[in-house]
Amino acid sequence: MDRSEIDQRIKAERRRFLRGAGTLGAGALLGSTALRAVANNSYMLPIGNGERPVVQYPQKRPLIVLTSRPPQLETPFEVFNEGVVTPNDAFFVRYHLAGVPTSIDLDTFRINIKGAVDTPISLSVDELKRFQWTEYYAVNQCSGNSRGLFEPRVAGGQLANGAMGNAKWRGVPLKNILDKAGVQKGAKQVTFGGVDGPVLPTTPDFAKALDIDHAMDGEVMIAYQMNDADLPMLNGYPVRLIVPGYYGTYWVKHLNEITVIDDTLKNFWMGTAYRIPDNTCACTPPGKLPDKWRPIGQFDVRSFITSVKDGAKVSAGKPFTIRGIAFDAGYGIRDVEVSTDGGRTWRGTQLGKDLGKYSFREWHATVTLPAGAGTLKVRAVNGIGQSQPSEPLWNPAGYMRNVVETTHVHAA
Amino acid sequence: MTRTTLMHAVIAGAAALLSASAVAAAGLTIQLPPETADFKPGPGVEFAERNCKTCHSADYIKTQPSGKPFAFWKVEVEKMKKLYGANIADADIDPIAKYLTKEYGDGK
Repeated sequence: MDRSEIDQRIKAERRRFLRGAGTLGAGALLGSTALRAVANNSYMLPIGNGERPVVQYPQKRPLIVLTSRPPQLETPFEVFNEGVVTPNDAFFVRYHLAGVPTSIDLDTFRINIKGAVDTPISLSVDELKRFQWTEYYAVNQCSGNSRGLFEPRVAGGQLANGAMGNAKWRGVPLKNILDKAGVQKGAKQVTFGGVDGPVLPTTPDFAKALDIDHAMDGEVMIAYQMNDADLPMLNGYPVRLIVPGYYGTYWVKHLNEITVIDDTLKNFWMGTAYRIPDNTCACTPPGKLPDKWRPIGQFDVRSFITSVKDGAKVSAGKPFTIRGIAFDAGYGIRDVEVSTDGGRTWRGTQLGKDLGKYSFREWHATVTLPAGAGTLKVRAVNGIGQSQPSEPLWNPAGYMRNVVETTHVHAA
Repeated sequence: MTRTTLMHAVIAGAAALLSASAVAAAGLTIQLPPETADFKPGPGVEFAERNCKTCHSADYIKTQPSGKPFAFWKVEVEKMKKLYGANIADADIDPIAKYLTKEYGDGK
């Protein structure tokens, strides 16, 4: 990190936190009654060991708590049936490291563009806002969304399907900022760092990289608005990177360091973590490690039924409407199909309004079920023919789940 | 109220207004709610208390899949030391993994 004032303050925060943590540790057992009182409201995720407290965080409605420190919040799946845009106060929260900023001063916050550039630049948020802005809808999804549904289970953040969301992002194309700084010949990657960081100096600070052509594609954005409002603190206030179609690990929050490098970033977060099997399915037989790995990249295709809960009762022999969402990496959703006979036959659905190729796409269909236990299945195909597997694929880190979803119902 | 106190009060009031508007104009401050989880009491809990909680809350462990064996937990503890730079003494690795297996794993 730079020796800027803000970083000094973050370090001071962390020192203060560590001192506090020592005291907390000693009193932890005494405090357990108070801790339980906070957790009186809970949510049962559809996974083993899936009971979670529901807690309201600043600028958020009550959400499902995966971990308190660092804050990690999952969106209750019901939210995805409220609309195709995920409200800011319901948007999931994911941090790796507990050095999370709780205060940002815009007078001192700067985005530093440096490294292999002709002119290093330091931008305040006000200065960033003077650049020509762009705006689009894009889904952000955690690489480990749905990890808790992997079988065999794997270690990591145990999420159901709620670590995703769709928002309208406004900001400045990264290309425009890099053009202003002047990218030098031989540049290979751009690295991104945020204000958040580790508790211990020995923990690798969070930083991610994009190849230079990707960083310069005109779509990757430094966003300062989310759904027409400032970003909530826990979603990256005051600015975060938007990498449409790519997993959330690249969407660096509280973005304050942009460095052009003539090499490839091989830190823990690019070189060890967030890696998938280097094969076409990004999968291995359950329990097996791959021979080769590559960094995680674009979303695969996913689709969900949002209007019917698993285990719901529905009317037998009477048509009823079901609806949901589908998305992919930005090739566009071409078709969404549903099956009421366990996947033997499929029929088309009506697609809703197109909010752009990176957005959730709404769909609906009318189905009729005979009396008894039944299933509803949904699958999507994107613009380049990618679809979803009928059986779940497995990989050691529990990334990229995109099996055809099945909703069990009882028709009577 | 003496004149001096009144003047101090006016100055304090003006300063409060100024600082309030400065905060409102340029930034954001939040306060995170308290943690909601604690380690289960059990033999060896002190090893988890003093090592794991430095970097994350106990719910990271509590929410892991149930019934996993000692080998699963030992890999996780070693990952924290080797990859995440946790300051865990070598002698603490097995006691932490034993505690976690007993309370959160297959119990063996």
